[in-house]
Amino acid sequence: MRRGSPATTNLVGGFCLFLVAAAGGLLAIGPEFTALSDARTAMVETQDRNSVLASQLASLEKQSKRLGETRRTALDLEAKFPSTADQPGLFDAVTASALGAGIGADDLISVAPAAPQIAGTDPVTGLPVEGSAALLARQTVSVSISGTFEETQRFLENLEQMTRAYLVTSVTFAGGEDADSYATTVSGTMFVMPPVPDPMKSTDNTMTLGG
Amino acid sequence: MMQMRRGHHPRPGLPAVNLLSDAAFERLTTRRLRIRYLLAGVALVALLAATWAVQHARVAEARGLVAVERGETTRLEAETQTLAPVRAFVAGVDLQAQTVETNMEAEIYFSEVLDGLRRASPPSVRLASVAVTTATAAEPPVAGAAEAVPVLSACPGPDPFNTREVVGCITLSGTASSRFEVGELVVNLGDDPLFVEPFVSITTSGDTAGVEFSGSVGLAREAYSKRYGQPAKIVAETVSP
Repeated sequence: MRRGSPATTNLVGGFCLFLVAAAGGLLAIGPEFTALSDARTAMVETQDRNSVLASQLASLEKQSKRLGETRRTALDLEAKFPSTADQPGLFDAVTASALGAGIGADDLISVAPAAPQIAGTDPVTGLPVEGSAALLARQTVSVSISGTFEETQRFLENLEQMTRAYLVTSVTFAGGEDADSYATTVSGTMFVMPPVPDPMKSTDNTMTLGG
Repeated sequence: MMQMRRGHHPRPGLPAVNLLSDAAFERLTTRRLRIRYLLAGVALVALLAATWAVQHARVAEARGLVAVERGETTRLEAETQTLAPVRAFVAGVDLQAQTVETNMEAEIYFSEVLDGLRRASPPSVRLASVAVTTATAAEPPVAGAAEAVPVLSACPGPDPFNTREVVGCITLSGTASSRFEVGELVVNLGDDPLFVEPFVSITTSGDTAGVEFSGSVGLAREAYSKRYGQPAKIVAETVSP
């Protein structure tokens, strides 16, 4: 094959065209296709993430609008499971229950609240048990009264209607010398639970929330 | 091509003289080929450039859209972050509600238990002592814990082959005018949905008129207040006294 012949020119020309096409495809067009594909993938991922975030935000805005209701629930829960032992409140409530049942202050023989113990702690060492959440403390509360059967029943009814939750676990009553009089001891558990921080009361939070 | 030229007929009236050699024809052909390849190359480059330009524009457009979407992401994240305390508050209150429900679900209205005892007692029966203990008293339920563990009930029942669920046990003692009245008390307790498995363990005739008795009766699930939800089932085993 001679140099400069038509056959050689065809061969060289065809090869050069192929080279230009290949180089252009690999070095110029290919990266652009890759970049376009990457951009579209990134767009889809970002749109998906935005969709999730928008959904979360909608849920949060809904929660934010219902913050007042949630706050009332929190207050109601705090009334049932207060953040401290609240002994003055406890004595007032038990005394009111007794008086409401017709049992005088003298016949409210004893109110004995034990110190609250955090649930999930070792009773011997007092150290938290691994894996337990220090969300709740329990205290045993015993109340002794003297009264008739009906008074005792009304007293129990009043204890059940107290704002503070009182999980009565045992009741013992025994008749005294007076046929109508019974000495009754009520034992049960009350709970102490730390409150959840209210976002509106947070000092470092300047946002405006509905509810 | 050269063959074709050679095959041409001379125009009529004009002399047809070709003095070029075959090599010259070949050079001319090669030159034309080179020009064509050059033009084809230019066209190819132009096509590549156009394709690149279109793709580049599409990439730029897509990246612009990505930038817009990422801007939206930033805005959404900022707003979500702003409302994060609300989420923590709501989640905390929900957890507290669950904790209250879990710990109080075993609540029993003891006033109704006493009322039931009074309803079941015939007129001559006087209860001297009553002790009520719930089955879950030893280990109150903890939020997130598994169901209540089986409890060994201290409440004996009349049918050892057909024990029933007992959520608490009442031990009682008192006096009655006769054993018939004591039996009536047992029947009445058995008929009351609050109570299950009444069992009198002893009746004695004392110095005074009538009989003294002592026994026990179990508390049925109906005794639960249920205002905090349905408590977990308690698997109770009855043991002999």
